Amino acid sequence: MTRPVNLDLTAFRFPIAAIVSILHRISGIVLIVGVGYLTYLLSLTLKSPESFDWVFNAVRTTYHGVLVWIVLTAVAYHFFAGIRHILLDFHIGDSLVVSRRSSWTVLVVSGIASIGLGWWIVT
Amino acid sequence: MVDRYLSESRGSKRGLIDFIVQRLTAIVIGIYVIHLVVIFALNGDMDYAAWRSYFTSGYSLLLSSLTVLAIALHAWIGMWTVGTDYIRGEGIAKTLRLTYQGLIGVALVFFLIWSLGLIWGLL
Repeated sequence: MTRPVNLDLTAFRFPIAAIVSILHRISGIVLIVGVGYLTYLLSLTLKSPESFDWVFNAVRTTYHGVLVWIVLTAVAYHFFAGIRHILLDFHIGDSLVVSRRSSWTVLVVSGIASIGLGWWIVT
Repeated sequence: MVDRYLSESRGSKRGLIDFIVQRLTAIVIGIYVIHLVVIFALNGDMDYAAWRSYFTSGYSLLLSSLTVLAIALHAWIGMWTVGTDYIRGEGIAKTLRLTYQGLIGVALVFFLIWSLGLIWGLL
């Protein structure tokens, strides 16, 4: 007896809406730690003029910039995917064609936001 | 989808309350994110004095307090859902799931007390 086996991972195709959905979840998990980190950095900027300068320099010139960029990208993605999710809850854009298009829109808009945030961090 | 959630949660109100709280808190956090983007866009490069006077304004203290409360509730429902999706079953799985939920709960209560302390300590 043989049964069909498909172990060719590259042959699987995930619907775009599934990718947007799992990224929504992953970005949420990133934010569990990320929001605490951003809150800590914000509290440092408010402590004294010296720590204010330190935070902005560290974010511009050290690995903190990469971390802040990752967390802010997660914020942007979670925000846009969340808007799509709430619209779907109200049956807005829940046809197959529109939901595929809005999935791509979430990915593209978040990508642009991520690039913009990166530019904002380094300048 | 709203209709389905409404009919499914007829037996227990818990799911419906979670559903609604998750969306309301999302809107509060979304408004906070939009407001920060607008503040940064309008003010350009703020120095320490301008930065501090904004974040210690009564308006900012109230909005931040509401937002950290929304974040704690939103993260609790989100992480609870993730836990029940991936850690399923009775016995050891249940112990693991309850431990996970306990750790998330403690972390979020800590976040709430810490961030509210930071916000109101600024006065």
